[in-house]
Amino acid sequence: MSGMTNIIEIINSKTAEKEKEILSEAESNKKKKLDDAHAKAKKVTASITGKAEIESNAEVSRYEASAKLQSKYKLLEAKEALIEDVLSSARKHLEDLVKKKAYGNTLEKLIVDAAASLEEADLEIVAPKGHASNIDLKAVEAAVAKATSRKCNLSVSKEDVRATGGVIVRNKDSTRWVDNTFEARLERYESQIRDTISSILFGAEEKKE
Amino acid sequence: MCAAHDEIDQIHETEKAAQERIERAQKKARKIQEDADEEARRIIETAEIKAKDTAAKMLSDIEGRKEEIESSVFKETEKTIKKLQGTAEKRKDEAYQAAVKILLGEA
Repeated sequence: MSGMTNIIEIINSKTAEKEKEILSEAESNKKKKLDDAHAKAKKVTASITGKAEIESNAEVSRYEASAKLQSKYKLLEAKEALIEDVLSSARKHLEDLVKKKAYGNTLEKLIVDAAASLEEADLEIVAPKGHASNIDLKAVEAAVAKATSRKCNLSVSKEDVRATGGVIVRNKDSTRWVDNTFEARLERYESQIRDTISSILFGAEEKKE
Repeated sequence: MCAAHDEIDQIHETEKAAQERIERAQKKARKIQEDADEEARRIIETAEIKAKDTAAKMLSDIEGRKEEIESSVFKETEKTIKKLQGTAEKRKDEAYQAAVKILLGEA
């Protein structure tokens, strides 16, 4: 009887051991599967949100760069408006000047300036219609001689030039000339004038930028 | 002889019961595996759904971030322009005089 009881006990004990082994292996596999699933979930999350983050940051960065560029344009436009305002006042000054007595002195300076560049003895002056009456030829010749240390004969051309003011000074055969009409000087010195205006108006601010 | 038969029968019954216990354990183990597979699938699926929600929210937040940028950048520019105009106004006459001098050859 004791032998049989032993056999039964052995069978039961081995069965219990096997049962435990089967379930333990199953639990272990389950744990591994769930760990893997959590790891994969983490990866999937990182991939999806990472992509969205990169995309949204890129779009926001693009927008920020564009907004900054637009701001820069706005600032430049504002500066340009202020420069243009000063230029417009200067043009108005020239338009008004031709009606004043001081215009004669201006013409004299412009003629002397042109004659000094041309370095010729006989020069002809072309002025806008009706403006030649502001020129005192003898006084201008004297001023040219003083400025260039050379005698100069000036005459007023029968032609006129379409301009607000100023003169064209040329040699007798019209092969060389200096266009000192207001419009020509505006065009010729525009860049220098704009730089000067800009540096006076925004000098300190531009250095800060 | 009868007692010996009884013993053999008892052993057979014990073995049969043991076999059944093993089969039940195996069945239970299979169920554990199946449940684990299902739970793993659900974990990944839930994470994916949540991540997609988060991503959608990130993308929808862009408009808000854009508005913030616009307001901050443009407000700053308006401030700079106002300051610039104020300073320029005070220097306008000097600039105008300088421009006229260049135009009239007096500079």
